[in-house]
Amino acid sequence: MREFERVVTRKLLFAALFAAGIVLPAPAHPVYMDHIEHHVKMEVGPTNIDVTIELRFNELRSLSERRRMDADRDGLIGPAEQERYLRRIGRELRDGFQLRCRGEKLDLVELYEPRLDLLDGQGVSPTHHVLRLYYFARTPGPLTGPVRLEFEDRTWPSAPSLWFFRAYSEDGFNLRVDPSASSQPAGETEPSPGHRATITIVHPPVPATRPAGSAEIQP
Amino acid sequence: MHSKALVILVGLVLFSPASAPATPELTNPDELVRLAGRLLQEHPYLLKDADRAKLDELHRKARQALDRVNRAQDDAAKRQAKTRLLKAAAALVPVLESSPNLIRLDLQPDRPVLPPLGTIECPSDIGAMLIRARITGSGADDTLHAVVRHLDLSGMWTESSTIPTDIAPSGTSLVLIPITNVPKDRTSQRLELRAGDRAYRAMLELRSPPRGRLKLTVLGDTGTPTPAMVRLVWKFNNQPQPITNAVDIKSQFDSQGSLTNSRNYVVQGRVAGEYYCMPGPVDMEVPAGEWEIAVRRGIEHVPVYDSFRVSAGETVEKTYAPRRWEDMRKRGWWSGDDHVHARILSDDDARRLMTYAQAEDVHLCNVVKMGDIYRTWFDQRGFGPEYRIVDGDYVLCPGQECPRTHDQMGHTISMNIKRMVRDTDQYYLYDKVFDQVHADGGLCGYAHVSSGMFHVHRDMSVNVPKGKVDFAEVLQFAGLGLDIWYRFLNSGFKITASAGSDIPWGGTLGEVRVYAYLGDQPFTADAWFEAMRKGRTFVTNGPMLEFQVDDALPGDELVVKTDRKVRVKARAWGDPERVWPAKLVVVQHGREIQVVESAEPKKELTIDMELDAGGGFWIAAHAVGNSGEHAHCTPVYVVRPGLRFWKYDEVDKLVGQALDSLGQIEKIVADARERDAKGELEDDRTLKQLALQGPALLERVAEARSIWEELRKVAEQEAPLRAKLAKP
Repeated sequence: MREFERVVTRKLLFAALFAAGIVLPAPAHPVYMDHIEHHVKMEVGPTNIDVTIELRFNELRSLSERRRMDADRDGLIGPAEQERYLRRIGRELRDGFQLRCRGEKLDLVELYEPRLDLLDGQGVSPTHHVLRLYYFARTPGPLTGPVRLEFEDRTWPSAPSLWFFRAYSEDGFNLRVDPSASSQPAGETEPSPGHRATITIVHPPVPATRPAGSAEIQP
Repeated sequence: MHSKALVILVGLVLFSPASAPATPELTNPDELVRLAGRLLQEHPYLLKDADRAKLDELHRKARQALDRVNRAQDDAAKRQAKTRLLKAAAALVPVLESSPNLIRLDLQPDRPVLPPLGTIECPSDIGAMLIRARITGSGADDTLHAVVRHLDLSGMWTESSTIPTDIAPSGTSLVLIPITNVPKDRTSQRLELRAGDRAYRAMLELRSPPRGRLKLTVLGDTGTPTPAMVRLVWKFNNQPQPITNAVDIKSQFDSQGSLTNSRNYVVQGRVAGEYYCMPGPVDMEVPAGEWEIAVRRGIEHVPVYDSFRVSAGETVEKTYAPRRWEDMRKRGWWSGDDHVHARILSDDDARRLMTYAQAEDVHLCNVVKMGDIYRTWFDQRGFGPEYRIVDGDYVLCPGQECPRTHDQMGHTISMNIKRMVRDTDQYYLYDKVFDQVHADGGLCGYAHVSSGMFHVHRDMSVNVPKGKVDFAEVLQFAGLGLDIWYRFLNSGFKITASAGSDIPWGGTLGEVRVYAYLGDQPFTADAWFEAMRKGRTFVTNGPMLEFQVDDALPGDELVVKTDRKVRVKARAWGDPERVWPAKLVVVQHGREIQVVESAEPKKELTIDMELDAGGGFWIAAHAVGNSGEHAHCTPVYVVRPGLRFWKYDEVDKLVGQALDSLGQIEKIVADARERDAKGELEDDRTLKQLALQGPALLERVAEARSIWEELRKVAEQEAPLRAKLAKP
């Protein structure tokens, strides 16, 4: 069934692109052409937990998004179009991310405006681009003893994805990311139900002379 | 980064605390929140040091309030949330207005020409202005409006160009103007503030300070300059800066994939990110300020991180020598990347790619020309030993990724080829390519087995049982995929583990790699390919791995003639400061039979165990790094005379899976032929050729089906011997 959905999704995507008048080059290397790489970085501090998400869109996904940006259909994405797109996309993606502490959902709030890097091209073409999103949550009370944080990313469930997660602290928290509690989507080819990372704060901040904790996983 | 100053020539610009409205009515609090965010993110230097943390906290509170407005479900909740937002946003104003760099303007309708604003000191070719523009007289009121307008000075092409900036037609506007592409030295520019139908003009002077110089050298193992991967970040904006002599590798990517010279290293941890390939020492101009640098040379070297300050007009010289935490060459293991796409049609092309391979410390690159049933990409000057590019112990060998079918049979990779083997009239008959490549002394395998994309299991079910396949790409894009590979190993077929980055779709060359064991032999491409042919490999993107069963190495067949135990030794090791093995597993028939783990950094994990040879098996080691990196070796095949090394208990299921894959081929051929009979495929070469080549393909499927079905009989024949072995 998932195979069927994947095929249908891809065919619909292609159909939409053709219907929109986009002339695609022959699919040179469809591997990963419709992938989105998710790079999530979490900084844990005593008052705030900052989450930065970098989404790297490969050809087909980038083309699809670029068409959404190109409001005047002139084939070029100007600054005003980028800004409009960013305002919209920030709202659209807001609920795609969830952060929990000790099982309780934390409010993830946009910290800065999303950023768009069209890399080498402002045109509506099947290339790559990068979208950066910035959120934060208030650290819920003093984080003493082992505290479990869970981060979930449900954005673009229909797109095959590579997902990377990194958690660190510059305030002395000793963090451990538990790969066993994380999804294993790297290289997946089918729609993803979401990606999840579990971070355990092993120790609260310790004297500043001790190196800051850092942990990374590739769920 | 601290701003030196914003010098405002007073003239007719009025500055008086008494001129500020007492309680401004904020008209667009959401925009003010964005203004504060942008200032904090990009231009905190405009604030007093003491105010940055204060504004950060107030900004977060305002963001929370803004979030509540956006999430409010009904009018009442929205009204309440907006009231909170107004209050939170208003709290930002005093901090913003206390900026020592704030330009205060009183705009009088009868005086459209303002005196010069003074000199704006920009930190480099970027900067910002924060203006408080209050309209007096007609249009004066107590409203406060936030405005953010970006100015790009690269578009100013005449001396009289004017920068137009729209502000509110009345009241007071708090305007943040981020500026980019500021020329060096002094730039005079006319600024026009448009307030409705009125415009106010003023001259301003931007001063971009003298830059500094950075002389950067990376030394290799011999103490001489070497290519390296370098990420240089200006702390002012935390953005990677181009290395000015970086290798222009994207020019060889045929407009495919990720078309950038900065390559994204797809791995976990601090080392991840975008790097330029620096071919040798560079002397480049850089903005003054604080800098961070990361220098990498593949996975056997410890990345170097440093930070330093470059002052205006000064030269900073930095030399780095990333030290090895391991030298696999000394252990007889040599790294390779089986899947590198790059055009090589000239010596310059060859030099650029060679430099990139040296920077990533990958000794053998299989540089694959890519094709499908329509065309080819990433052209090469030729194939065979005379077209190899050799520089010391680094070699680029032209190979091919072709045939490749996406919705039918999967992608293949060949290495050490003497010619590009491609016949689109027999495109679906992958065995034709495999046979020719083997006849020419080359090796064949499948790409993307790690992800299982493109139905690669289908052709594997045809040609693996016929012994036409040497390797499978099981590590790519930081993802180790074992399911399909294990299926065929469990069926009793030998397949060597391989890995390839697939740049330019992949992040960077060698981000995953396959190590081949040459032992005491000197490194040559031929020796590397021979080791690959023997299956003496492991794949990794972090930890290193050794594995031995008695004296047998990965890829070896260990024939055990009597009932006895075999000794299994596995070792995974890494750099305790960065990549260390968190888990080491011995895998027998795909099942973990021994696991050691470490929660703390350790240089190595080991397993030393004895195992009954039983009815034979394949057995391998798999290591997982602390950050999710993987290493996996090709199995050792423990064989008992008269028995296959397969997973006997699952033969029926495994054969069933293979027959299902073959059935899928039969179906797609039948579908294509049916559509062709209706004349629907004249504009679709992919399916048209599948229909035309279908009968020949189905012959091969039928042969494979016989082999698989025969395996069920083999299982029956083995039953008595296995029962005998099972007796205590």
